[in-house]
Amino acid sequence: MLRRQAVFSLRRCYGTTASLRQAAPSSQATRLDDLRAGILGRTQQPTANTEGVDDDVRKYKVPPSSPSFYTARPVFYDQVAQLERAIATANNALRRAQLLPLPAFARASLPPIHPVWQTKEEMTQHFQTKMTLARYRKVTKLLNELNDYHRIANTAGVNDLANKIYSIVSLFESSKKDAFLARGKRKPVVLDVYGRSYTVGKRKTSSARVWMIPVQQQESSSAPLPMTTILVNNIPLNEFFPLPADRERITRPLKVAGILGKYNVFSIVRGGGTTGQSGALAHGIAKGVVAHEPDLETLFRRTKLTRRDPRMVERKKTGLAKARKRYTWVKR
Amino acid sequence: MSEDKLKLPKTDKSPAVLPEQFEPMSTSLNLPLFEPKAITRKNVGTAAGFDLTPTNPAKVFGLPKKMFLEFRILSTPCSVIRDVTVETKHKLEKAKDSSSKDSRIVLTGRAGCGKSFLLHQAVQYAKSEGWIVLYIPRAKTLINSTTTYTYDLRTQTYLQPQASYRIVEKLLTVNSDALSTLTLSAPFTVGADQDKSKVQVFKEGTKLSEVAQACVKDKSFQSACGTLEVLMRELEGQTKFPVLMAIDDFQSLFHDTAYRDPFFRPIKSHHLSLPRLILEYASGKRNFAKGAFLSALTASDTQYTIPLELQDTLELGNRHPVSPYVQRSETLLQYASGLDANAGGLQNLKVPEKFSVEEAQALFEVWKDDLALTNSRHDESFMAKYVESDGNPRDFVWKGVLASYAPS
Repeated sequence: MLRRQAVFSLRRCYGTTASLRQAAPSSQATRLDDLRAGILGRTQQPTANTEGVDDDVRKYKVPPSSPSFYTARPVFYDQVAQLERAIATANNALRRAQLLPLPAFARASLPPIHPVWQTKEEMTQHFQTKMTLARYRKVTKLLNELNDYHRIANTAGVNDLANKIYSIVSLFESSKKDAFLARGKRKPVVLDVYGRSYTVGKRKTSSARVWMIPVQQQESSSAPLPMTTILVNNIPLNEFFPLPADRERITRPLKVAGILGKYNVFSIVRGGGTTGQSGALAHGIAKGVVAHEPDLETLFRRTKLTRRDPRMVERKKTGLAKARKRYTWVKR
Repeated sequence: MSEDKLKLPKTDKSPAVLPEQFEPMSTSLNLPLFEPKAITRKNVGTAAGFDLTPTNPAKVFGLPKKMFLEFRILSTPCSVIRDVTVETKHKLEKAKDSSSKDSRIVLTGRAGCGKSFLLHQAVQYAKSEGWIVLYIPRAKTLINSTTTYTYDLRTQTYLQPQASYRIVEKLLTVNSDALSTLTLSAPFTVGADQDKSKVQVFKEGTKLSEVAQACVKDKSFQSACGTLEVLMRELEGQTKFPVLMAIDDFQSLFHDTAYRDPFFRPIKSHHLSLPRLILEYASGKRNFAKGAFLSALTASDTQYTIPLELQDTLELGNRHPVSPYVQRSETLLQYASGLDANAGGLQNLKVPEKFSVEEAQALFEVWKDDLALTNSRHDESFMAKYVESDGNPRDFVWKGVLASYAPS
């Protein structure tokens, strides 16, 4: 797109010729070949098509489409030039709109930007030159400046300018931008056809796969209070966890959220011991609660219910009896 | 003294004072009395207190251990009326006028679902209705070798004099009014086997209470077995009062006992007099003309588990697969199924595994009113305890209400 723009802008300077109009290949390389063939002259019998070309070539010195033709990397320099021109244009426009220079407080209030540009390999494809680090940095520096102008225009509400800038900037954005920005964040839990959430909770070496489904409310007014049923490995909770402490740990997320009769829980726990399994189940239930009630996400984060307890068994060290226990100290 | 710790500390103006709630025998529970007219569908989900008269079967016969501990913590013994209570009451009402052969019931269910409590409620109901009640709350005490035993050549069984004495004594205490109206239908001689000079003959027409009194007076337990046998025979024959035989820990009677024979082999339960007596009434070999046989299993005893014979005949279902090649004792199968197959043998009354929410609420309020809760957020803790215990009555009380770690 930039190349076409360059061509149209340069036409005014150099003038159009029939050969230039005729020869409109998609790549610079084939144009160069044609021109070279025309300049050097063809030994074979000229065809009807090429005859006119040869004549034109002898008559007029066909100028290259862009001044970067004589560089080793015409595409690269073209693109860079275009970016610089775009930056200049945007700068002028923003100055006219009195958005630049921006005072410190305004700049501080701008929303943060998280640009994810194409990698060097992707840009190599784009620029048709090997992108060394220096070239990559040059390009990304320009892109960052343009992106900054886009942010200012966007925040100010100058939408047409913002869209124009974005149309240039978006060409260089990586296709993996969303994935990159979402790295480290939890995948949002999706409820299935029946309204069930599926979450996994972990503690020490135990894991719990937890399905939560809302309790079916009976319509009649004399219906008793709905109650949560928790099944662990298809066994009722009180049979699987005999200790009151384990049971209370498991119902804590539901108590904190105040939804003790709202959901039924089915889970499969595996690994570890009783307390680890109860902690894993509590973690899974907390995540399931957040999936069903997104408003409680902040509350659960503050109460550390959705936090995976990072404590694991510490390894034994050499020279020590256990992780921390030392051998009996002998004076002599 | 433990009460000193409960006293409010003394000040300059007043001495240390024990708050009124902690006075012994004081109760803040105002519960309706557990009586036959209170056991109705409308009253399902309400708590009712047992009466505290000295002849109450609970006081005389005793209680299963867990129930005993619970009543010791509570300021007054009470229980919740459930829908099974009403069902059992209807069964007993039907059984009042028919032979006990038609009303041989075993209460089954998951561990802690309330079988012993239900049996106790049935005993209290029967006593209020004027039945003659024989309640054995811990049948395993008959087989765990805690009382004396002697071999009897005539019956070729091992008699249990001490245990028989205790039963006669308790039977007399609880049912003295009824026993004083009933009389012997045949003469009865006591002490014929022992010292000839101490032979006592009771003529036909003597009151049963007198016979029992004579046995109780004789502290040597010699006449106990014979007296008990005669009393049971008379109770079988009479139709004036329906008789309820209530046995808890019923499954323990199907195991080998802790007694040893001269060859140091464990004695089978049906070779001991008292377990044999109970098994005969259970199987229908002996019946009361009017009355019922009600028993409850104990699912949580690991020493005396529910045997395969009972599991098969009552169709209890096995948690683990059972091989058909495991031997079942023929005799025990007979006792479990009863001689008359047409009568269906022992009936299985399944106690619901869970409390309904109303029943749980009633029980929770009993503990709350008795100042047992440390957490002031009652609604939340009720729902949490119900969920944690999955509605299981025992877990709801012992591991829920009384064992909570939640701070107030």
